[in-house]
Amino acid sequence: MKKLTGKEVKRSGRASLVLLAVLVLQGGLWSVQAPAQNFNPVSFKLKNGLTVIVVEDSSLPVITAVMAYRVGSVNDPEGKDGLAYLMQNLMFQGSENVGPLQHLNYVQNVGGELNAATTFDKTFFYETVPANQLGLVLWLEADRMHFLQVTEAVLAREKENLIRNENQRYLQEPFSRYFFLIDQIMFPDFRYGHSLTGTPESIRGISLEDVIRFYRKYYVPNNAVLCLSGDLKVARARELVNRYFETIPRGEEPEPYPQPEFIPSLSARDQVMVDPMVSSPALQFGVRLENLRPEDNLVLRLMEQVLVQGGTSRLVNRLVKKERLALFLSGGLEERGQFQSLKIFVLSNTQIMVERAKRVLADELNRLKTEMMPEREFLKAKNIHKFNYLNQMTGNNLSRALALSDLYLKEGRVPDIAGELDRLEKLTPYSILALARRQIREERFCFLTILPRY
Amino acid sequence: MKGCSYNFWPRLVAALLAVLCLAGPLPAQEKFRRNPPYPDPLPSLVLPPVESEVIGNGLKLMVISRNNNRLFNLQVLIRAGESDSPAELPGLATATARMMLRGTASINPAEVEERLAFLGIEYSIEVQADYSIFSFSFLDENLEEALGLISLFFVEPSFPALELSAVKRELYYQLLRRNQDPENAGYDFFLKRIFAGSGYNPGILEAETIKNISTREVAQFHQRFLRPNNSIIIFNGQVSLAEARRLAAQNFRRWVPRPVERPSVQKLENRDLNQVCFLDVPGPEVAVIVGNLTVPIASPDYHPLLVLNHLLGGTTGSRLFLQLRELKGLAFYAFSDLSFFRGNGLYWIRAKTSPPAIVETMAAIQQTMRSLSEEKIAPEELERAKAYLMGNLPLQLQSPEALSRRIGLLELLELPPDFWARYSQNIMPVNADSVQVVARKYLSTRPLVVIAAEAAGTLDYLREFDKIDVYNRKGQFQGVFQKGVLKYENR
Repeated sequence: MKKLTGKEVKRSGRASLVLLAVLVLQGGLWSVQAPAQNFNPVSFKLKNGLTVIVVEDSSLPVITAVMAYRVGSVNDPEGKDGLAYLMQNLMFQGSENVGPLQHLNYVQNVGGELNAATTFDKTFFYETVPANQLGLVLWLEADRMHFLQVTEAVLAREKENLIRNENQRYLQEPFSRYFFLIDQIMFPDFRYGHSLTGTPESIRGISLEDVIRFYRKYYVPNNAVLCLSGDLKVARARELVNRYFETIPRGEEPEPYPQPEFIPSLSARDQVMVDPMVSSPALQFGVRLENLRPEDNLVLRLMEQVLVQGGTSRLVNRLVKKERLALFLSGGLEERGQFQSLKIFVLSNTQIMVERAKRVLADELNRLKTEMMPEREFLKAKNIHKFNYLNQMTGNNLSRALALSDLYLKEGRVPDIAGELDRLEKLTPYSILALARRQIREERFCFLTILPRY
Repeated sequence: MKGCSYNFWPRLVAALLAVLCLAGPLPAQEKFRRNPPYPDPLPSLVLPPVESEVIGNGLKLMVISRNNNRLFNLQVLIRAGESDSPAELPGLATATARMMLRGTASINPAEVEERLAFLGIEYSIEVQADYSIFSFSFLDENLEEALGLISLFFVEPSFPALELSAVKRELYYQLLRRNQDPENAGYDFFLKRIFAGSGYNPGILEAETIKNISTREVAQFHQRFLRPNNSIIIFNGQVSLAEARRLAAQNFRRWVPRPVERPSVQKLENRDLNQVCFLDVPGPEVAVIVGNLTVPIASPDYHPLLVLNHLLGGTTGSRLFLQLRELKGLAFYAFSDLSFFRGNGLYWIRAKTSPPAIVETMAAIQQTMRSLSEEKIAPEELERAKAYLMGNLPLQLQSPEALSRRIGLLELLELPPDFWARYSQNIMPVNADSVQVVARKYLSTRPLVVIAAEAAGTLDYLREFDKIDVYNRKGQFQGVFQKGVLKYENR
């Protein structure tokens, strides 16, 4: 049974697809007309650098606010793995005018819902509330952007919570740690390769001073974008945003991403680990994609679709259905700054099946650069992508606001639906062949075999 | 607060320093930051217009017109679910529903899957005790083609034996995984016990009996229940009633109607159940389920019950969570829910705890329930609960799938067409008296309690209970645990 939920954050990563440049004027106002009535983003910037995007959609009396900061695990200082993720949790622990955990209560008391997510390079906080509570969510977000309160006691408790939750997750999903370990192999560099959730040692090593420095550096208006979507008017949104945010001082300018060169050793690219917690052999595969051009993003999404998304994708067809080498298979693209990676997880019955699955994986990836894709298969990938894209942009306020803030942080612009769909129409099977020839390099394939202790 | 004086001053100083450090050298904050703002006037909830009619073969057509939207949602709702599976074959309704998309008379299963993917159709299948919902979302431009394919699932399903084996295997492993969680296992057992003897299956599947389902029974179930005159089709998107009528008639006219008979359901009353059951589920976690019968959703008690449930355990700000987790540290979580079935309803509380904390957890749950029956709710708490319920409804209608589902539920649960539109108007008059009335009616009788945990590490902590009926992981009665001794019995 397919589930339609829980994809918002993942899909927000797919918003990086539009190529048409849009002029953004500081302090100015612009808008893009799109064919769908509920998509008319308007953007403005405060003097302190906070970017605000507003989408009016009056179909239901509901609004979503996404406050997204350009900070993630890539910003963890060396030895402080997990700090960005810990910071996300600390943002719920109280600020000058909002008591510990009161943020949650304020939102729930009006029937709202909220959550947060941290990725490699972004942290999102979001609330969906009745449309008359716009002032409340802006008040809450402004308070924790500028007046966060963290005590030693709160920090100690949150650190232990984080460690306990991660231990619990490992007990429940023993394979979860290998999703991070493959990153270390693909990206042999602390900033790019370490685990988002940190280790018990690194979490315990985070001090209050680390938290303060991190908060002051990254949780500033000029490092954030606020996206509001729903039953609201731009003028009222602007009035309230000004009220709560414009006196928050600008912070120091965010540093550019580090530009490491990855030189993994040959031996590191094919590892075997024995884990007494797992009950079946498994394979975690990864390949790093680099020197990507902006226009490659859309083609990569189609390639991902063809390879691994859904029951009719090439890898599921061959590994699960035809050759029955996998009991389960999942995977997809992950963004890491200017890099991307394709990660695939395969659960098997025996070690021999894992070995054979490795060959099939390499074979299918190499086939992308040697064979032109049949037209129908390519059309299918385009259809699915088009549905996913429109669903993300028009399906509900949260998915739209997440996608808009994600794209803005990445590329400094809002999407143009018509332009995006036009570009999709123009792609051909050759687009995938050409990209595969540039990007699929067997010497970059990384395999991590996980074996149970029999 | 215990231990408050210990190292208090150094901690306070550290806390103040930390606060100062975080805030940095700021000007004094503006006055308006001190308190949350007053809300703007709330726009009223206006749902898109819904038109309906019945087409030739008895299929009820409902059309939700939403303009300028390029996504389309189509749902087929069937008035049959797990309660319609034969007693000896639980899971037949679910297996049948899943088989509907696994091949038709003219298209083999692999081709069906390929065509669904080619048209970019996202789908879900939901089988509840009393109804089943098939939901399909796709691009508006693919409506004709999508409908052509989807109609075949209902008009001419083929139920290939090989596919049934795959469905049964899939269901079997899903059930095994589900029952590893003590909360799921405990809730399923709770439902079985509370409806025991009524002849009604509230939607519980059995891993052991899944293998007995054959293609013949699947086909029979389809013949018997999946009939157009027992179904509703919802078109949600840019389409008029006339166009929807044309499309529905064109694609579904071959779907043959037949008289559908569903056995009537026995109405069960809230009563003094006074039973504690222990279900042996391996693992370190403990789930406690507590509940009793209430009333069907169409009852006048529904809206006061909703408010009561919210006060009791609807969210992390409700009494159970605050008492059991935040104040007493007894449970990882504690919530309450309302579930509704054909002719019946129930409330149930779920808490996850540890073996040494079970007795105290139970006491705290009972105390929380008692407080709602014995004391009137303070106005502020009551208003917060009502504000949550009224504010939250539109959030639940945001996606086209969710909107179609809610509209469809009106038909399936035989509710008035303006049920959701009048939701806030019905919540508004709920007051402390009406909440106390329903609390006394439904919470003051002794409930059914299910403790789901591993017997070996847990029973020793339960000596304080007068009597506990112990069941093995398959739900078979093992014996009675009394005064620290488990006496095995043959029943």
